[in-house]
Amino acid sequence: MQILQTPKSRAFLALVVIASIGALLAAPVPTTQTVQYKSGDDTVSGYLALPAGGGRHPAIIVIHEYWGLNDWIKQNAQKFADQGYVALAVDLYRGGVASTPGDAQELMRALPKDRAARDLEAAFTYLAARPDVDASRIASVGWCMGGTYSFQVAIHEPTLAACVVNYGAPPTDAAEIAAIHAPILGNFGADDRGITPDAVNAFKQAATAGGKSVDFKEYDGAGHAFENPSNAGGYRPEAAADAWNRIDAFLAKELKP
Amino acid sequence: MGNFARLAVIAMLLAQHGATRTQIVSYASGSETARGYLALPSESGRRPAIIVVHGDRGLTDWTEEQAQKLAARGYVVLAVDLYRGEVARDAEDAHELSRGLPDDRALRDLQAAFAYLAARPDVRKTKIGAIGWNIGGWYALQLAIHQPELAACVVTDSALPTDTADVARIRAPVLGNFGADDRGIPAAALRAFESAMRAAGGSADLKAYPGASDGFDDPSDTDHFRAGDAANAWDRTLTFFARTLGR
Repeated sequence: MQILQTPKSRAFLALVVIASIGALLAAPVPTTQTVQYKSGDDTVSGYLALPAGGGRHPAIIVIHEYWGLNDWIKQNAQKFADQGYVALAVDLYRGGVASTPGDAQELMRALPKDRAARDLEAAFTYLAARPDVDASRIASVGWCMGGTYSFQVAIHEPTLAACVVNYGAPPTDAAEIAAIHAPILGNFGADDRGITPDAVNAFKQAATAGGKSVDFKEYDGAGHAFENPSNAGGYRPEAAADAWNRIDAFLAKELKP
Repeated sequence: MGNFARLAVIAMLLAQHGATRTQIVSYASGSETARGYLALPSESGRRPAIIVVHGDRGLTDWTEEQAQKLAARGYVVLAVDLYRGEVARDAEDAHELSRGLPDDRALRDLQAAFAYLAARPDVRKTKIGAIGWNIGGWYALQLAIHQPELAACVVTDSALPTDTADVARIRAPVLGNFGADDRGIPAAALRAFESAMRAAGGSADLKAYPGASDGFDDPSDTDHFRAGDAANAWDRTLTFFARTLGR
């Protein structure tokens, strides 16, 4: 490290350090921590990202894909905290994180859906009880499997303020659709084999006919998990950026951070 | 050998091997039409029946084979097609299709399958059971929760309900076969389900095979297939159905 011994480079290093500290002070720094709360008789944990500033904030339940609570989901929670939301990323697998599709499928298949529903209800209750959260402004956001669960939160939490679904399976049961109160934003890949445009449109029609607020967009040339950068073959950067813009605008409109 | 003798031999072979007839059938599910693969036994008269629920790959050849094997044992068997025509080509496809399946529609299709079988003149409607693998096991248990007339339920490598009110609604005795090395379904989950069933006055017999994991009974799953465990699980299944549904 010869270079650090010259006075010039020392001055440069000092500048870099000062600039970094300045950047850290200027940018909102979300605080993150693992929190625990009760779900039925069990104690579950989640990844909490807090925004800067005091007072009550709107909040978001962040629901992971079939991979589990991995780094990408945590980053998304931090991103929401940067924007002024209290973000709780749930861990429906309770510690399991997959690195191969086979593993992920094994974990998804093994997840008791009733337990997942209970954990999500517990996450909502946990956020609503926090002194820094405005309980009337809680949203859910999910991708893939988490998108399907985001619909379920909307069905079972009548006071949910907004629901974002990224390629999750829409419910088909008329009574379940009728139970939804939150406005819904959805981003779907038109080439998704499992969640077909027909299924997306059928939900949209039924929900709209029932007076629900539904804003769905289908991305041509995009399939399953197009928003995830680690989805090597399927990541669509432009569609993903557009989807994120839609999510940000929708949450800002519904939750007003 | 005369014609009569030849016919007698054929009849004997049919009886031994329980030759089955198969066909695709359609039936109403809500306002939609669902479709299934029906395998009929050679025996006549009213028979016990079984709903076969496929895993995350869909209604595959292997699933249809299981339906035929059960029909050869004297059951009227309906293998449902929850994906409605789609079959997965690989693991990613299986994920995409299973994640895209609406739970409420799957349950509606299973109720419709039950109603279809119960209305058939060749079915003893108090003796209808269900068997499911992988995601199909979860859905078979959902049917057990929501259809009190279901008489037996067999699951393999499936998630188990944890809600005690749901478990208390299960009237059908439950048999389960699991790989002990299954990453997602630990031994504690099996014991919790068994004790919740017992507490509610039901019966559950879940077995975990040491060294086995998800897919241990499917020969096409070359990574996980274990012939001995698979044979044992199948014996347990047949014995259980013979006891709960008759033959």
